[in-house]
Amino acid sequence: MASLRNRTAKLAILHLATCVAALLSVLAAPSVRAQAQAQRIAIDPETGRVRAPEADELPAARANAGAARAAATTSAARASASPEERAKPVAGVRFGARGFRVDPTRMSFTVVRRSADGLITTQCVAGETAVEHAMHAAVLGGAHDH
Amino acid sequence: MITEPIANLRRAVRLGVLAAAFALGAIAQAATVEIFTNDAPGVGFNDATAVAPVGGNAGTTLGEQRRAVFAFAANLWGRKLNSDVPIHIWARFSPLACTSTQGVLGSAGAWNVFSDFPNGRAGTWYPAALANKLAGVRLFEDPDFTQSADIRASFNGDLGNPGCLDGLSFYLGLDGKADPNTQIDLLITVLHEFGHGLGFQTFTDEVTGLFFPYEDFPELQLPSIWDYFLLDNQQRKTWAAMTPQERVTSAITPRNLVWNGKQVTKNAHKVLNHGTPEIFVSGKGLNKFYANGPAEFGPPIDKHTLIASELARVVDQPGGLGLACTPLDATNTFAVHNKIAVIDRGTCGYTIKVKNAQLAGAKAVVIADNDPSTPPQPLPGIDATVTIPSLRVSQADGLEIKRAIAATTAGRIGPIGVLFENQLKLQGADHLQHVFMYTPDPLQLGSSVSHYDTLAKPNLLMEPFATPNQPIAVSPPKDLTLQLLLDIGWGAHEH
Repeated sequence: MASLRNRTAKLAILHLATCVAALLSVLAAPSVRAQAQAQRIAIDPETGRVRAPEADELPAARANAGAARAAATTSAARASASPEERAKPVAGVRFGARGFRVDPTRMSFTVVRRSADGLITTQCVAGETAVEHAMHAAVLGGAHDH
Repeated sequence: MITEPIANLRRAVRLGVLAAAFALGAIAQAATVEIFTNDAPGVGFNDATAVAPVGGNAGTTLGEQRRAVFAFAANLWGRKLNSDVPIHIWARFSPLACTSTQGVLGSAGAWNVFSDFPNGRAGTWYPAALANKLAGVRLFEDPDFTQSADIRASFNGDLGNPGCLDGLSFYLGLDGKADPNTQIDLLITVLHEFGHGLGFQTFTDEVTGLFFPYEDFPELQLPSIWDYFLLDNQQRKTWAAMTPQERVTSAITPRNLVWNGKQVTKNAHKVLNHGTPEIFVSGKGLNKFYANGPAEFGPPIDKHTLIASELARVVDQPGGLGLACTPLDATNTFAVHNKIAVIDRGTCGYTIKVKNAQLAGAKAVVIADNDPSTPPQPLPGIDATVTIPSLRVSQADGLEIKRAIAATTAGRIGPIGVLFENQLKLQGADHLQHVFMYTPDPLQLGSSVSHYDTLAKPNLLMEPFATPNQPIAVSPPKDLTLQLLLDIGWGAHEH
């Protein structure tokens, strides 16, 4: 038993030594400013505070269909766009430079959503396809699963 | 997409020349930002509804206050940027997609892009305003400003009306004092969107990896100027040098893609907190740091924190999970006493879990996520009675740590966890002080890549989400937006 305790202690020391070595490699001490505990994104209905939404409270391009669908989404949106909404060359640019009208997939939109339990999220996305994702995202309702 | 009858375009009015250049008599020391609108009489910028002055905004009609907010934002940007060529913004307030629970607040972006003009990098797309600045002249003129505008910006004029996000409204003050429960700060939203329009965006598709203008013009696909500064730490390549598939991978590798520009990097330390909470795990085959999301309750993991202790699991569910939603029993109390407790996310709030571990004598808590998304986000909650630090690791990392604990023979020491603040890393940057860009997995369509990472503290203007602490500023000591624009080619004049 004593032997076991000794070996355990040695292992613990070994582990701690590894940790300390790691710490020493990263723990020089430049000046430190107060660490702001910033909260983000959403108003938590339970606390009334603004906080980051959980990842599963956000719309995600791959959330339910995989990367291939996400890729298809932007391509398909471009393919189905009306001629006015497509990227198109701009004629008459000085110095013979090349010019293009930007298509809606690059326009930045700020979208806000409020779930049934009062959670408010505000997100900046690009393109009307992303707006549709954001506006139709299933936001977890009721008590938030932590 | 916004469309407008040609007849209305003829009613376009210039909101104003808003920069200080003319007053200084030295136009090269600033930029003139001109805002044009074609809102119809009585709506949008011309809405005559009487309102009371608010937060430093002295306008007495809704339209006047909206103009004042835009003028403030344009003036702020105009004083910071340096261009001999006026920046033209086509702005309007109009109904945008909206329901009682969700809606578009506004949209903006570069309206035209140019390549292969004097003083620009060859074979590269630039946003119009920056291309004009570099060329020293407007590259494309058209009598119709809706064709030749550099930036297009639209904001939702219906916000707060019945059926459009009922109960929410734009805050039109200029002091950043919006009530986060009921108001959206228009000024911060406008500053953010103007930032995109001035160049804080890539035109490359982060989903397909294709350069602009994508599938329709394969022979004209070129990198954006932005792409030369996006550095992937793992691939050791910039986006401009990658294949489309490499860019796709890069866009969903969290805390790996950084901004490799001199201005942002050398100023990051003036803005970001010095110190990043870390967890290092050693033993049972592990010897590594884990990405984490620290708790917003309990003591912060700061320069005073150094907890090195064995990791121990709570197991209180039939399937082997440990939720810690109720006071720990004797077995779990014995397991975590004087150690770092590893608890699974789910069923109850984080503060409850941490408090139960605290009552059992744990020194700290690691929450293993139950969602596969990465990177792990901060733990929200409020409980002033929590006195031990806690953080979250991803589901995959949590599984790895839990396996290492499970592999520990009874009576032996398991893996050791160390919680501390890495004072060599700025919060929101890598070890070389390159600021992280936002690249979560799964990809957030439109948010990924063209924003700073949400890890940044204090919060930055160009993060993908509105936050209560976002600054009404674009440069140090509060923000790094201007520095990024300087990196891609803007000159600056600091007042």
